[in-house]
Amino acid sequence: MNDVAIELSRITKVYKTGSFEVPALQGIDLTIQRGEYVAIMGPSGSGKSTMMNIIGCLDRPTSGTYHLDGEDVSHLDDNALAAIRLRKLGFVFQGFNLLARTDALKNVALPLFYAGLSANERNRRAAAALEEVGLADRGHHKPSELSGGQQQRVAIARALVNDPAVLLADEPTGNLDTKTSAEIMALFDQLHGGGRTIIMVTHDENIARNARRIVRLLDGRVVSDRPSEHEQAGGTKLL
Amino acid sequence: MINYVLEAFSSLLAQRLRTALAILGLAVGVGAVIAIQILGHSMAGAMAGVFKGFSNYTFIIQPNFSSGFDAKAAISLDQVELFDAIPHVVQAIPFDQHALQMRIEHKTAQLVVAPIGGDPNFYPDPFAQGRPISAQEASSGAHVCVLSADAATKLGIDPAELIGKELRGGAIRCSIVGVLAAPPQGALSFDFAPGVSVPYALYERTYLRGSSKIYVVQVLVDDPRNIAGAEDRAKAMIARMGNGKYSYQTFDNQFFANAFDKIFLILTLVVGTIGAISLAVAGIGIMNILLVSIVERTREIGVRKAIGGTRGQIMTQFAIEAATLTFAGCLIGAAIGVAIGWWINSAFIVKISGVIVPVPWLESVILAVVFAAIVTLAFGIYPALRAASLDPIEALRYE
Repeated sequence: MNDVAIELSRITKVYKTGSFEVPALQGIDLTIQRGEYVAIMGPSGSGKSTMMNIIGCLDRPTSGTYHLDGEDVSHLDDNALAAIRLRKLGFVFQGFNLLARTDALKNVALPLFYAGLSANERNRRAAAALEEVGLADRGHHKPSELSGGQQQRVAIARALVNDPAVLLADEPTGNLDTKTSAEIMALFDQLHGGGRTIIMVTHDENIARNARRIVRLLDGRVVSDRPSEHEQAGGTKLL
Repeated sequence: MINYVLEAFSSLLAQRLRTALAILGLAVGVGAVIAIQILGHSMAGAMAGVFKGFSNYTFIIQPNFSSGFDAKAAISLDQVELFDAIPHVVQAIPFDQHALQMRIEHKTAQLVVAPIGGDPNFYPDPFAQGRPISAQEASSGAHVCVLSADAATKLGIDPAELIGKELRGGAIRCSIVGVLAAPPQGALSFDFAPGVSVPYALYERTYLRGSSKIYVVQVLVDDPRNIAGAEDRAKAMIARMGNGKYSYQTFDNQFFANAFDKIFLILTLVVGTIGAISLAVAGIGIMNILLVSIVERTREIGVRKAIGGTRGQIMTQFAIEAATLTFAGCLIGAAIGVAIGWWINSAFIVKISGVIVPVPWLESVILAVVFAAIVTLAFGIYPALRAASLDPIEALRYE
């Protein structure tokens, strides 16, 4: 059994805008083990979103290789990438991105629809995922009837419902107040405790401190990669 | 596949307002187009009516006075029987008329008396009562006559009671042997059947002499298909007699039918233009409703892609959604349009004009439905197609 969840080697990404070439990533080497809880940090323009998109199989690197859960995914076509996202990745976005007119249970069940599961099986697993994030009783509420924190929990349940190898969170607390952010971080802690691999992009030091490892980017390069204060402090709550 | 259908339905149900508006817009558009098409056609048909001027077996020939009237171009009574020698011509008679105050018993009416030959094909309309004037009666000038439906109406006597009655007026006195049926009516139809048809010999004896200038001759041929040829020969013959100094022209039912065809063509163009405008309006309405939700739908597609839906899977669902909208809207719209068209047509147009025109129901429905379906599918699927081609990241950020 391979214990490496993510392995990036010499990953570069160059964006072309007209005749300009903008290098967003300039040779990233990064290995993340199963069960790790990693925060990726960096100022705007450091390349952290680009890296997130590549790790999330939403974008392809210009060069370099990317192994996800033991599989080389650097050169797959759109449909193959969609299949990888479906089977191995769970996304949590800053803006939740739930379907507004669809209730929580159906939102959570959506990935299972694309996986081709029967309606009964979809509902059963979606209910289980909602229970995991503590919203078992909110299955039939629409997103507009839920608080921001609850909406983000629904999004997390949706990310977990297909039992992904990696949970990717892009500024998961960016739209939430401090108290709600703490709740979400507690949930992440709990998921980490349960053995989930979590990668979180953020520019907020206080949020990043919840991870066990912090990778800092600047100008498309990894400039620092070390255990967080949380880890150094032996697991004390910092937020 | 059944899963995609269910997913599409649940998506349509989730967006009840959009779904309802799209179906409503589609139904109103399709219904309006169908109703306008149907009404336009039945109106145009009612205007043109079922035109019938002469009998289909006859034509008239007269000098062409377009370059000025010249009495020397007139055809005299003596020349009329020369037309009988033309191949396919059965009989030529003067085309003339006298307006008279006529009466039966104590009822009087202003009627037009005209000569007619002894062949039933001279009559433009079928008989309601009695019989045509016989060949013997026509050539001997018997005191008999046939009334048009219009004349019977003017006299205010039931056609069945007219047979055998004596009609008097001026120098004419005749026993009624037949009454014609009313011609099919149109808002613009003309009836050239004279009020009172009398034997040509009686008419000539009463009103004309051999040298009388009668100008117009009515010619009966053996078959409507031979009319054109007979007209050309008649014109050539009569022109030759005047040493080619004068030209002559002919008129028959086909001539009038052609004239009405032009009116009908213009009406059809007007109706078609109105239909095209209503199609465009309906199309823009449908398009608007579908485009209003494009931001939301683009984000939705971003989400669906990010969580692992493929382009094909997402497009399948959107195509089913658009097809469902189209089907429901067109079905309701077609029902509304046909109902409105049928109701106005039968309750007003047919009642007023008396003409039942074949209405192109099927063509109208197909035209409206096909157009609306194309618009709905295009504007339902195109944004989805575009959004599904976007990067999921871009789709998620779409505003």
